[in-house]
Amino acid sequence: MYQTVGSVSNSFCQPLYGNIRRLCIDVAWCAHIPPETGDQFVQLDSATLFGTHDEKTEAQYEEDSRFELPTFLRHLPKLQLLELYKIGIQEFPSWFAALPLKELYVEFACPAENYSGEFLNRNLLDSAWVGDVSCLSRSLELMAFCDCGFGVLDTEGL
Amino acid sequence: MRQLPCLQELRINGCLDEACPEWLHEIASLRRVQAKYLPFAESADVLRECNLDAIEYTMESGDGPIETDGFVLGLERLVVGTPCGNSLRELNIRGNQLGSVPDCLRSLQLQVLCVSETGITALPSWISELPLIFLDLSTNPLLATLPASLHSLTTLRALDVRETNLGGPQIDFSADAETDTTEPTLWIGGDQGPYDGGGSQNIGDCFLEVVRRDSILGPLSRALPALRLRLHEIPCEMREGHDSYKDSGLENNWWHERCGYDWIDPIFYTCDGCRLTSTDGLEAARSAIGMARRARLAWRVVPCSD
Repeated sequence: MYQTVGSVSNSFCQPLYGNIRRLCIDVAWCAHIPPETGDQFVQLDSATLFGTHDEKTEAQYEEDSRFELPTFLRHLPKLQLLELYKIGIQEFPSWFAALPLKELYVEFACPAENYSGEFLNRNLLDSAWVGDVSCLSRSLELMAFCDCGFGVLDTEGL
Repeated sequence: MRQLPCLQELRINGCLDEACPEWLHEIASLRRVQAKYLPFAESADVLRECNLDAIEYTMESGDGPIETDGFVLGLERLVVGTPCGNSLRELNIRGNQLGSVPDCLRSLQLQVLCVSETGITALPSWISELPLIFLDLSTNPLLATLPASLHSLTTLRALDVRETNLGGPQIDFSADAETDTTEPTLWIGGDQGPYDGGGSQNIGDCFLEVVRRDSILGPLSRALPALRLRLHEIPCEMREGHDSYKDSGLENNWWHERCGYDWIDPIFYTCDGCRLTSTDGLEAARSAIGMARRARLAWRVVPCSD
């Protein structure tokens, strides 16, 4: 019975998911997505992961710093465009450089107004991955960094 | 980033406190750079060594152009006798206060030029020496004329003159709230311009201006039949407040003389959810244009005398 249901489910999901080209995912959902889910999105070429706050407190930045990119991304064979919107990712995982990405868009969050000066850990405001030359996919043709209203990029590290 | 062998486009919008990084020219594959709010003079010294096809260096305040220290001098250093100047085909310097189109652009091979919201008041006659395909002059409320030489710019396919003293009518929603009528108004610059606290006038109150614009737009369109003109600004009240706007395709309605419509016609600035309640001023303006056209035609035709 379980196998029958499973096979019906698979035969239903493959044509459904297999034609999807773009996904937008709330960052809160990322931890709940099984890695193997990516195998079903064989045509997916564009993914957006978005955070929920335009302006963040230090506690929210700390929460972001513990965020890990969902591993289902590495199972998407045609992923060419990735948008990270208002997520304070500190480091990319080791597999990130192997993604077939051509376009990477990053929009940084802003420190909550009148709050940035009070950050105890100001390292949270800098994304460590920016200084890691090996973490990015060498197939990238476009990189876009967007408004944050606060100096984020350390060009020495780029 | 400089170790990315395929990187062609870099967008750094508001993320740097300083100029573009000095090593940018090391990215041999880089062709397009988009930057907002970066110190321009310093960035120009970096970008001039890059073989770029396109540069967008824009300021977008919404309150008119922003004066940037050393912008024109920086632009000269960027393009005159440099690798960047040789390769550059698209330049967007929207929002930077210029006053006039910088002479240093004259020697370039630009196909796309955006000098929107730069405070320019006139175009130089040498603009027709550039192999332009698209010229964006929008949001320059003191711009009221075009040089005659533009008629010979046969490469030009698109010209944007919205929110200049050459643009077409639009609906003024602020007037609508006060008078409960919806009439077409014409963007009027000069002392009445938006940056001086002025705005637009009902089209029925400015016949002379309508006729003047018609005498510029018509001949230009006849001289360049392949040219499409974008004349009508769509107010945000319509873009955001009317669902029918999304299906109206208004953004695609660029005017040319043989399109079957006059440049003052509502098809360019109304949609199902936002129609005119009064067209009196429009009809009067149409009559004024018709009379002026007939007069111009008669002036050109020399009558035979017995």
